[in-house]
Amino acid sequence: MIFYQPTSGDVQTSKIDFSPRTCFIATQLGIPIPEKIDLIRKDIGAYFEENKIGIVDANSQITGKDFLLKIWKMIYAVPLIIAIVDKEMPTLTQCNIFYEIGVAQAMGKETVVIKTKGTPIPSDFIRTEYIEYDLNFKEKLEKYIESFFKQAEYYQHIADQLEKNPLLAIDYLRRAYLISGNILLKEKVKKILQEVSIRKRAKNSVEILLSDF
Amino acid sequence: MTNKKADIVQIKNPKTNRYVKINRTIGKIIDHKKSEGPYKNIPIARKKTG
Repeated sequence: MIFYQPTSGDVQTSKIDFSPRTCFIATQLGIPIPEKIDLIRKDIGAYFEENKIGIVDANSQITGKDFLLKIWKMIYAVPLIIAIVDKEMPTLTQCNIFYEIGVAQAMGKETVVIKTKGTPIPSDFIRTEYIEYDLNFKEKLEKYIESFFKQAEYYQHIADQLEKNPLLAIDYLRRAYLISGNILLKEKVKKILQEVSIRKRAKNSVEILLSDF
Repeated sequence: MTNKKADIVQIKNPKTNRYVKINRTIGKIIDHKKSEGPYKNIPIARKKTG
């Protein structure tokens, strides 16, 4: 697939290393952080550690370069983006969080919004699944992660039906790999590449970039 | 001219809980079901083992 950098409009033509089984948290990072956001992050952290899912946020990397491009690349690298919003957050912070969810959806990532009670959600995100932070939060998070992993199986299953459309099959396998971290999917991609004879393309060709995960 | 029948299967998307129809002959997702349940007379694709 072709991805356009938000800062230049140019196509991303160099490899970005993927981070399978990793979640990007989009939320307020600057102080004062609402208390409930801290509690939500602690609960997510504990559950993800148990389930071997890594967590990153915009503060996880310092590149010294463009901040938006850094976030865009971090979102590109992971399978899951979780937005955490609270009505006490500054409006502009909430705008940034929903922008990042939009970027993630455009890239075909799995997304979920976690919100505190009484926090409104923009109408464009009504169809985006959300979890409300309450006493049943851990249970709801667990159910969501269960469905997240099921999605990887679905992507792999779809890829198996798309033998006649190798780039699409590779894209589905890439997304399945990002969710599950199953390295056998890389072998499947190698097999597809052998069959379609595109291995002699330039290293930064769309086909090779797509399959190099 | 030969008129070969297309190889069409369906799979349920767990995110939407709806079936999608895939034409394997041309490698394309051709439809997303709007209501619950599978399409009539379209086989459900089996998962490959291994």
